[in-house]
Parts: sequence; C-alpha cells; structure tokens
Amino acid sequence: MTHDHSYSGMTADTSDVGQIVNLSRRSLLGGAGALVLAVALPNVAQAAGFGADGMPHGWQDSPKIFVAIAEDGAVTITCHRSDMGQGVRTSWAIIIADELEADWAKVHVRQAEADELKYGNQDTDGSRSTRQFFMHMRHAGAAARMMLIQAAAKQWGVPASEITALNSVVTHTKSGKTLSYGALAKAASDLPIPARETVALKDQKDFRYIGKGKIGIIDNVPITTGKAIYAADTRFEGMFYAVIARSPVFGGTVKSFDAAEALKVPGVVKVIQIAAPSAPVMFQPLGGIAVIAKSTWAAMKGREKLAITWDDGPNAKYDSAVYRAELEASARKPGKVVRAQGDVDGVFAKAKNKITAEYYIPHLVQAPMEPMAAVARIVDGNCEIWTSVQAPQAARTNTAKALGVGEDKVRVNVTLLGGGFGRKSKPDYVVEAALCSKVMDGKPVKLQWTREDDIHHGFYHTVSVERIEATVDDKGMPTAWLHRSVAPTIGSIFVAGAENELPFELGMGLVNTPFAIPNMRMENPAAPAHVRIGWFRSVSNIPHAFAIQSFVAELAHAAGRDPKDYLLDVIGPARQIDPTSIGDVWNHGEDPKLYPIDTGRLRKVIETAADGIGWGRKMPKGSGLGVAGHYSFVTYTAVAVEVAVDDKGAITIPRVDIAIDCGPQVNPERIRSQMEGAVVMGMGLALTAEITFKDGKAQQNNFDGYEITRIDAAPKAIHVHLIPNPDYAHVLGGVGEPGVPPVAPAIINAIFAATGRRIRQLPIRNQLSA
Amino acid sequence: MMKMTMPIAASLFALFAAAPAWASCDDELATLDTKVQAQATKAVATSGGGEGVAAKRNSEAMASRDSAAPVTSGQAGPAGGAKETQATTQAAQAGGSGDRVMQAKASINEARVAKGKGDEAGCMAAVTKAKGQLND
Amino acid sequence: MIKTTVNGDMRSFDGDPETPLLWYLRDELGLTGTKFGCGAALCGACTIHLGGQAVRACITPVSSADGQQITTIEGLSPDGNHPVQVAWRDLNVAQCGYCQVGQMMQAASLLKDSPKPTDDDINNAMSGNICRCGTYPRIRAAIKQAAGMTAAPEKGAL
Repeated sequence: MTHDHSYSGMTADTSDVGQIVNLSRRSLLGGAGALVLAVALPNVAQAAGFGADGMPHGWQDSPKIFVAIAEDGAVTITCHRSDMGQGVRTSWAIIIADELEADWAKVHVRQAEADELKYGNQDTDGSRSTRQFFMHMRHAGAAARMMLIQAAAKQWGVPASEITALNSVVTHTKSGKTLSYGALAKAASDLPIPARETVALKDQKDFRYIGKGKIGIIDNVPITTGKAIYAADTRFEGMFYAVIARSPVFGGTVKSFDAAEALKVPGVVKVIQIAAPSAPVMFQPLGGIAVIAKSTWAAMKGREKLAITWDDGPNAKYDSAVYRAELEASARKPGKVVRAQGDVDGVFAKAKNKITAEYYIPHLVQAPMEPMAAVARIVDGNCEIWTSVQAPQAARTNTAKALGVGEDKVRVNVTLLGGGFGRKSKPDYVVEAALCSKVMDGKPVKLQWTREDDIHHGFYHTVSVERIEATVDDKGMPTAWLHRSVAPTIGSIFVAGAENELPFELGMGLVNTPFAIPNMRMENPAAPAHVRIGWFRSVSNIPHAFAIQSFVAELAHAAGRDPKDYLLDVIGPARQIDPTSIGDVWNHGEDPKLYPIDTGRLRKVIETAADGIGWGRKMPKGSGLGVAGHYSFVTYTAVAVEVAVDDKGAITIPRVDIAIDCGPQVNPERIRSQMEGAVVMGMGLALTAEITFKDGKAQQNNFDGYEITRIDAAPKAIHVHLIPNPDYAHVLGGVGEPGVPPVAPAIINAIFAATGRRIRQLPIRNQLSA
Repeated sequence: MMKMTMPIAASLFALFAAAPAWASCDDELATLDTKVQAQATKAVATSGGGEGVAAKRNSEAMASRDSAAPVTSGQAGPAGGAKETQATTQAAQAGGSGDRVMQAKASINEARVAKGKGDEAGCMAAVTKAKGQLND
Repeated sequence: MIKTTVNGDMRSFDGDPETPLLWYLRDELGLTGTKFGCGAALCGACTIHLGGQAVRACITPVSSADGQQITTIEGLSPDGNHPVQVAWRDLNVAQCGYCQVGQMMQAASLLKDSPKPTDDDINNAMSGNICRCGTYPRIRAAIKQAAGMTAAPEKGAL
C-alpha cells in the first residue's frame, strides 16, 4: 500500500498491507492491536431500549477499546462513528481527552474498522453520535484516567486519592512527584478496568475541551495538504479500476449486451455482468455491466463502448409530472389517519373561514462531493475493503452475504467521508467493489461511481404533496387543522410495495407538530414508489417543515398578523409535551420522559433568530424578512432570512440568522459550521435543486442540471446563535440534520414579505420571473 | 413561564371524560388509554433512533403485523443477527412499530368525539375498531 | 511521449494522450490530493495549476500539458503553509474536506492575480467550485485572511 491511513497527522508505524494503523508495538493501554485486550465487557446490546441501548449492538465504553497510550505519550483515540464533515472524530477526541486529562497536543484519532460487536453501534445517521454516546465516551476516558492514577499509586505506594491528573501528567500532590502518561502506560494496561459504577466522571466546571469551542478540527492538516484519505485514495500496486453501467430505470434489467468494442479499449481487461437485485432491493447492488480496467479512464471509456439492451421493467413509465398529479389527487381524498385529536370534521362543517394550501417538493439527491467509491481485495478467502461509508457494519454484512462468506471473513476499513448526507448509509457500492474483486481472483479493484451514476441511480429523497386545511376563529387563530402528507416511503426499499410513510417518517415533524390547536388530524394517503427512496439529511422533516411553516405564515397573513408573533401563538405557551401523547411512536428512539417536546425551547429559538436578523425593521421595497422554526432530532432550530427580489424576479439572500438549542454542547465550533452548512444546503433545495423523471429515467446528469448553491449565491452573512444549555447532566440533542428543515420555509416566507407572492412549489427557480 | 406538564390532547380528553357518563364506553376508553400509551412507549423503545434501523424495523414490523407472520426480507439491512430479528419481532408486537398504535389512538379520539355528542353506539364502534387495531 | 513537470519533478507519460490530467495524477502518479467530483468541469474539485493557471484536471488531457509545469496541492507549498492553507486551518473552513483542495488551489490562483480581491472577485473566481457542505462563508473569510485583508482569529486556548 502506498500511503498512510492515519489521518490525524501521526506517522503510522507500519506499512503492512491490510492494516490501517497497527499500534500494537507502541500502544500499551488498550488500543487497536493490543492482543491481550479482548473485548473486556459484555456487550450491552438489547433488542429494545431507548437511545443507544435500542440500537443494534448497543454501545461499549471500555477504555481498552477506545484509548491507547504509547510509551512516548501519544494518545490514540478510536472513533467508531463515521466522519462525513460533522466533526465526530474531533468530538470523540474532545470528549475522551477531556475525561482522560490528556494533553491535546498528544492526541491522535484512529478510525475504527467495521466491528459492532467490539465497538457498539456504528451506523452514523439520525444526528445521534454525540447525543447517544457522549456519556459512554466520557466513561471510557475517565476509566483510563483512573487506571493511570492507580498505576502511579502502586508505583509510589501512596493512595490514589492523593494523585491528580492533568495534561497527560499525574502528580502526587503531597510530594510533588510526577509521572507522564507514557511512563505509566504499560503498568496501567496491566490493571483491571474499573467497574462502571465506580468510574468518577469529571465535574463539568473542570472541563477543558468539552464545550469550549476553541479546538480546530483534528484532520485540519491532512485535509489542507491533500493528504487526507477518502475512499478512492486507497491505492495498491497493480490495482484494477471498475465502473458499472446500471439500468437507467430503477428495476430494469440487462436484456442483452455486447462487450466487444469495450474490450478493444486499451487497458480494459474484463467485462462482467452483475446480477439484478431480488426484492426488496434494500442495499443490494442494482446490477448491470461492470467494466474492469487498468485505469479509471480506461474503465470509463470502455463503459461508453458497451452496447446494452435494457428491459426497463415496471417503472418504465415513471414520469414525475404525472406522478405529482397523482399525489395531488390522493391528497384531496381521505387517507390513513395517523393522528387525531378533537373533532376536525365537526369544526370544519360549521366554520365560515377555511384556508387550504398544497405544497410540492420534488425528489432530491444527496450528491456528496465525493462520489461513491470502494476498494476491495480478497486474499486467502478474506475480503478487505477500504471505503467511505456511514454504515460500516451494513457494508460488512452485505458484502459477506454477497460473497457467501461469514462476516469474520470481511474487514471494512472506514476512510474519511467526502460528504454523506444519508447516501453513504446505503453500501450498495461497497458490495459492487467486492464482487468486482471476486471476478478478478481477489486482486484489488477500485469501484468508482461517476457523478452521473450518483444522479441517475440514487436513493432519492422522497417527493411529496403536503396539503393543509384549517379553519380559523374571528381572531384568525386556527380552530381545526387537517394535514395530509403524501410521499413514497423509504419503507419501499425494505418491503417491496410499501406505500405508506413509516412511523419514523411520520415522527419527523408531521404527527408531532406541537401546536396549541384543539382539533387536529394528520392523514397519510398511500403513494407507490418508482425509484429507490432513501435518507437525505433531515429526511421527511424537509417537506413537513416546508408545508407547516409556510402554512402558518399564510394563516398569519390572512389574520393580518405579524408572522413571527402568530407562529408563537400557534405554538402556544411554554409547556412540555410527551411526544407519545400526540401520536409520535418514534421520538428518535429516545425516552419520551427524558425527551419531551419543550415548546418553550422552540419559542426561544424562533425569538432568537428573529431578534438576530432585526425582526420588524423597515425593509426597502423588494426586500423582506421571513422566519420558520422546527423541532427535529430532539433539537430546536429556527431560521430568519432576509431576501431581496429584483424587478426581474432574481432572488438574493444577504443574511441568514439561525438559532439552535441542541442541549449541552460538546464542540460549539462544529455546531456553528453544521448550521452554516445546513443553511446553504437548505437554500439549494429551496431555490434550485430538483430531480425529475421521464420514462423512468432521471433527467438530470450532473451539476449543470442538478443545481446546488454556489458561493456567489450563498448568503454573505450567516449568523449562528447557540442557545446556551450549560448543564451537562441534561440530555443532548442532534446537530447534523436539524439545521436544514426550517431554511426553505423561512426563505419562502421572506419572499412573501418582499413581494406578496406565495411560493408553494420547490424549487423556486424562475417562478418569480414568470 | 408556566410549565404545563399535561399535554393539550390529554387535557381535552379529560374534559370529555368529565362529561355525563356512558359508563361502559368510558371504562373501555380508560383501559384503552393505558394500553395504547404503553404500546406507544414500547414502540419508541423498539424502533431504534437511527434512520436506517428505524426504517428497516418499522417496515418489517408493519409487514409482519399486517401478514400475521414474521416478514424478513432475507436481505441484509443496516443490521443483522438474532438480536436484530428479536428487535423486529418486538417492534411488530408493539403495534407494528407503533403504526397500529397511531391508528388506534385516532380511533380512541373518534370514540371520544362520538361520546361527546352523546353517541354511545358510535363510541363503542370506534372502541371496537381501536381494539382491532391493537389486536386486543 | 508526453513530458511534464509535476510539483518540480520531471515526468513522462506514454499512455492515452487523451487521458485527463486528473486520472494521470491520481492513478499513475499517486497524487491523490486532487479530487474527482464531476468529471465535467462543473464542480472544481479537481482544480490544479497548469502553467500557473487554475484548470480543471478532469477535462484537461495530458497532451495539453506537454512541456508544462503542473502544480497540485501536494506541491502548493513545501511545508503545507501557503497562506490559503494557513487561513483554511485558522478558520476551520473544512467540513468533510473533500472539495477543499480544489477550493484552495482556486483561491491561491485568485490571490496571485488579485492580491486584494473584492467580494465580486471572489464570486467570479470561486463560483466554479462547489462545496456541498456549504462552507462558503468561511471560504470567503479565509481568502480575505490569506490576502491580509483581515487579521487571523485569536488562537484557541490549546
């Protein structure tokens, strides 16, 4: 192998092929290769439970899994969750190093391979790494600190209580004697791990890294020098390169193909057929024709020369314009009732003032800047993979199944992810790489997706029509509210033919709408899926928040009220709502008692964002302010936007204020960066981004047709307001996703303030110039 | 600011419950309330907080519940193994990952609306529907 | 035989002259700092300097580089401390980091041509570089810092 896989700036001490970082010769307290340290604690995975307890393989907190200290004092922290830009590698270092009392300058991060039995759950989704593992990682760091102190106590023959630890040094307070962590590492590694209930966590007033917000990202140097390793950056001498031609229509199959011309391309060595998936499609490869070559370029050129006749299959007629009309027709008829309180029909029957609106939001594709890629090889029946994946264990499980081997024969090494946004939770591309290596007798093969592959063969964000009807009293306040959400479900990739939104999709801002409206009903009419539907950063919260936060502003206008004040009134007074009491049976897997919906916190973020942008200030003609708030991933966010619309309908967004209350904060610097990025991503889906289908085929090909926000359109000023929540005994909320949902409706509401024109269909594109 | 611990929906129910009694439907509703709340909480605990795991468990639990037989795709999703199968089974038992619980809650509301209008028969019909949704 | 100088080293290539520089750099030379994002000059992830100009390596054939100097991120500065690299670290610009090599190569080229760029200069030079994580406000700020137009932020406590 031709590079060093440890991205934290340290020098890996081995170039052994097949080992990402072999620390066994230098790491004495636990760590990657310390063979004496098998998994020390029973796995805590349970079939049911809240938080990480309820996830496959639960959690681990053994210091011997997560902390390694070498004799030179280098502290290597293992991060078992994937970093796609949200900063979890830095957060893990912050949390563990703080409890460990490690010297930050000595801290490195090693990325864990896929092994949930060893590390606990690794599925990096749902904005829950820090939320669900904060306390467990604190325990790991604190237990390691106690072992170091215990080792010093033994060596000095003094009570452990007389020893303090700071900056990778322990000190006997009475004598002033000191020992470095490196000097103690070996002795400490021989000690038993303290029982969990005896592990003393630091008092939060003594935190030096957690919540301080001054720590740069751990991978800054490799990223800025081009040395950071992503999926496609893994190289072997004699490696082969593969691309795959897949059916342009989901569910299509190869009728026949001719590889003769492709095989004439210099460098092309093999063309093979990959079988179509069986139903349900789940994370299986889509099948197709793989071209394997001696370079990426040759593989791509070879693919162009393939002559393939496709059977387009059952989705050959999928047309997103026609489908939209079908969704609208469904939204105008009763559907499956998923939440009801009070008597909506009774109020509707008597009411004088009823307001109705329909909102449409199209398919999107995640389009991380790093297209999917994986390197695989098989040696002596053992498959090893290097890839960027949000779901390492799923990659391992699916690869083992596709190869027909046990999981113990598959090792998945996780690189940095060049963005994920939900796409890389589906490891179809990893399996493709393994299948290509298999036909090359196990030689290393790099499987590369192009941008066109990404856009044509996605796990697309759902498309939806959201219809809301409400009656209002003589003050304009809603008395009854009916919301129908019609959207193909992610469930359709798991159970073929599924047509209703799943509880976890409905729990993303539909059934858990926390409004003080006495009569409410939510319905979910059926919608068949014609493409693979998948997670896209913040998922169903996007259409739900877009519709609800737009509609409340429409009601405010009808009532002649200030939209921010009206929104706060619709939310009602500060109170805590048990989410299950209003029909949310997901609650992000969190304990409803620990995580009630707190409307006071929702109100606060809305007020903060509005204050930030100077709500109520006089705006010039063509300019306006809009606001929206949303609760998702057990976090509260609100966005206030200033827009200017010129006389040709062109939109500029000079300023955005975003407020977040995610509970206690581990790395405020990364929370800010996540909010900034969420604003830009939300802006892209509001203004320009859309995937449409005709004859079953995606009509966009690359970043020319699929337009996402560029620097010239991005807001020059994004002000992030972090609501302080200083008590670390309080539960944490999510960060990666909750910034996105309120962005689009806030922009739409600002456009209305600026122009009097109400946008109900995303993306906006040229609707204002029409 | 005042903290209201009782959710709005629940306080509305309390108002309805305080209305002149049709005891039989009231009793049924009280029993159902307890049951549906327990199942909702169980559904949360069996669904998993990850988007991937929740999607797979929700899907298979709903399909199992609908078909009255375990539905497993045979494909490998975000997680596999015996514990994961057990989790999906438990999720199915928790009203199909809560899918049936959501509908049962709506039926219970329908019963209360009927009762509020003095329609005991309508109340009982909706109670029967709710029981069916909970497979009671 | 095509001869180029890559980061100061003489290189020769006798493969398909139409091979884009991106794949030559990555697959042949192992210079994996330059990234593949779109293959069609639409995203800027593959930006390198050819003859001192920022170009998109994904659509630039090796043949057009014959006899020319190529600089990639690996050669942008001997110690990784070009002003844009320093500013990028100071401001923690990167999220996933994948596009940032292309962003920095483009920004370095901008600063060579316009040592004190205006916002419009930045828009014009940088709008071909997509960042899906949305780091644009920090990219703008980092360019201004690298240009000496704004002071570096106070260093953290660590």
